[in-house]
Amino acid sequence: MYHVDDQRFFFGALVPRVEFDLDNCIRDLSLKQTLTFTGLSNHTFTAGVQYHNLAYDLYVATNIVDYNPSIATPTIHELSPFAEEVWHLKPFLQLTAGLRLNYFSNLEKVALAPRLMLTTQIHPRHTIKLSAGRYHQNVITANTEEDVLAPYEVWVPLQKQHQLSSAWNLTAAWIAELSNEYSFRTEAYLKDLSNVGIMNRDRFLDSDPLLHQYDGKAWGFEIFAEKKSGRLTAWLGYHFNRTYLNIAGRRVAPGYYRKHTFNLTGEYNFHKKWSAGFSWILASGQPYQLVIGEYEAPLPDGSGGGGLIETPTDFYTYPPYHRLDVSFFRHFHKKNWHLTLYLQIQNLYFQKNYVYPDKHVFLNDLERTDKFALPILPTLGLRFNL
Amino acid sequence: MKKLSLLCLCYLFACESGLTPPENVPSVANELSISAFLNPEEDTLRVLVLRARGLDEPPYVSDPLRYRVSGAMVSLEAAGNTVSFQEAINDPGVYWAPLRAEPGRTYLLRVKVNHLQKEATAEATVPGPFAITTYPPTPLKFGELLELKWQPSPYAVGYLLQFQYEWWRPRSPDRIFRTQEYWWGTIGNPTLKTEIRFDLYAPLFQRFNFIDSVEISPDIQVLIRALDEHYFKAAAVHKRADFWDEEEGLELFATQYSNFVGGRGIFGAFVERTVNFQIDSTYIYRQRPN
Repeated sequence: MYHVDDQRFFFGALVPRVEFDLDNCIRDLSLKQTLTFTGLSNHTFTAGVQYHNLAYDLYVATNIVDYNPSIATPTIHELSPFAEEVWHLKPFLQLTAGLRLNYFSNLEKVALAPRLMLTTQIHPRHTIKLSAGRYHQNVITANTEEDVLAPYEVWVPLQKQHQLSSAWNLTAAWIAELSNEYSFRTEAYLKDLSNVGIMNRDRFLDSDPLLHQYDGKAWGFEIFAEKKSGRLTAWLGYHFNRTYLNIAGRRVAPGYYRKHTFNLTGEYNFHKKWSAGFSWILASGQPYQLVIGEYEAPLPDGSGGGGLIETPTDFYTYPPYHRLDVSFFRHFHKKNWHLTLYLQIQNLYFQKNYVYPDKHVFLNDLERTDKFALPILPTLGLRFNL
Repeated sequence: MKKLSLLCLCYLFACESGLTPPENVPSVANELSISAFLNPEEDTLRVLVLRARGLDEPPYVSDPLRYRVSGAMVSLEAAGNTVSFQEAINDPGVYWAPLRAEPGRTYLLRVKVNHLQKEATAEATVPGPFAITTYPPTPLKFGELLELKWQPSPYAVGYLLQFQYEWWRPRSPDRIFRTQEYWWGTIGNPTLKTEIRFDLYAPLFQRFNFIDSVEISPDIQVLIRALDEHYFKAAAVHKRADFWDEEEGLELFATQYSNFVGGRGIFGAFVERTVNFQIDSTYIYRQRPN
């Protein structure tokens, strides 16, 4: 008998091989001080400073992401002095101009965030708001692009070598208080995105960047209608959205993208002691890619180099997401306290939704692709208010 | 009760699982995959031109010739000179040209396949030669560490060290040829490590706890290979994915490294040195801890 015993060892260079490890604890200490001056007629001037102290006890390690900002940036300081002027041009017309200076210690960058808003009350129950402003963000979400993290909400701070994520926002909103019972609001927006961070899914070497940053655009509109009183209270929302990032000369929809989202939420009070609620969501599926082939490129020792061939990340779209949650409440009232016993059933009709984009779906293994969201999940609980 | 159970079962399996196969699946049959490595020690450069495999086609191992690409125009450019390659007569998809690569020189490989309407190009710079400055004491005694140091190789971003020897258990007919590889390197790191201390025997006993004693061949060969960026990246990615697959049963989920524009694959370069040395203790008995 003749065996070949082949062992390999790797030093340095490679990202540590960790399956999955996650700690995500953020301590947020915020201080805000404002000073308002109303000495001039038709003008209100506000100035102040806001301070955030964000202590990240965060460690994210998966096959492709190994990130421990608590070593690089144990505490992030955000200092934002701001000033705002509200000019009451007419009784029905108001102009708000503001300027905010953001300092982010994790990036060691200072950024200006000017804001302008025109509010006009065209009718006692109808208001139009037009606004423009620049917004900055020094953290990104890792879970939208990383399969393992997808079920979790994982915020990852940007590092010194990254660019600050920013956006110019233009919005136009119409707010209508149709009656004391019904209200309506619609808003259209256009966002010019810059340096949006996307986790680098192909990171293997220490020298490979943790994330890529791209520019892009987002636009869309939202409609909300609400019934605020009566036995039945309900809330209806619809959101149409188009978002793309410019990646290698192509417009690519990011992993979190959904074109349509429809929400209907309501609660019905049968009796002082009994009530029931429901929430239904219907949304477009998120983009995904398929592994459609492979290639070989042998190394000099004859071992197989090569890899997988995938479609672009947004080539296909998962089936729509929809889910119904219902709740039943039994209320107990006493003089000084209020007790609610509730039964909540999530995903009542057991829709097998694809909750998060699996980034490597194999074409020849589609039927085994079964990464689903919640099953039917009943919860029995107690809520106690003093 | 039975009706209720049946109803519950129908309810649970009412929704289909798995995605429906899409109709618009792009074909990969025209995608080129190329493999070529420059080595100044050799006087011939060999270029392998393959095409990609769709997932509905047979695996590479079962029908390798199916994926070889014949009729390609392959050329190599450096310092204004162009060398054309010819296809091997008995080995379709393999192109060769007499060429001795020069250390420090950058080469541009161009592969054009008219019937697939594809053209792929890639560049590689050959690492410079290097000398080994510290050799192990010969013969090496049991328990001594094998120490090797060498000069940094210009343009190298990583190293591969390969130890090869045979070992066997006393009174066992099985002889085991052992290849032990160490890879390291950091792209762009000027202080790339150029030394290694290797405990020859510990891995044998550590890996096989049941072994009390071994015999080992007196001759050991050590290969030191200085790798350019493309070879190192491709090997690191491939070897680690391979290691995952073997050790942890994980599927190969990585998009592999490629430096070709207009195609896939690797055009890399390396220089290497080989050292042979002897050991004096060919029979080693492990002392059990008290």
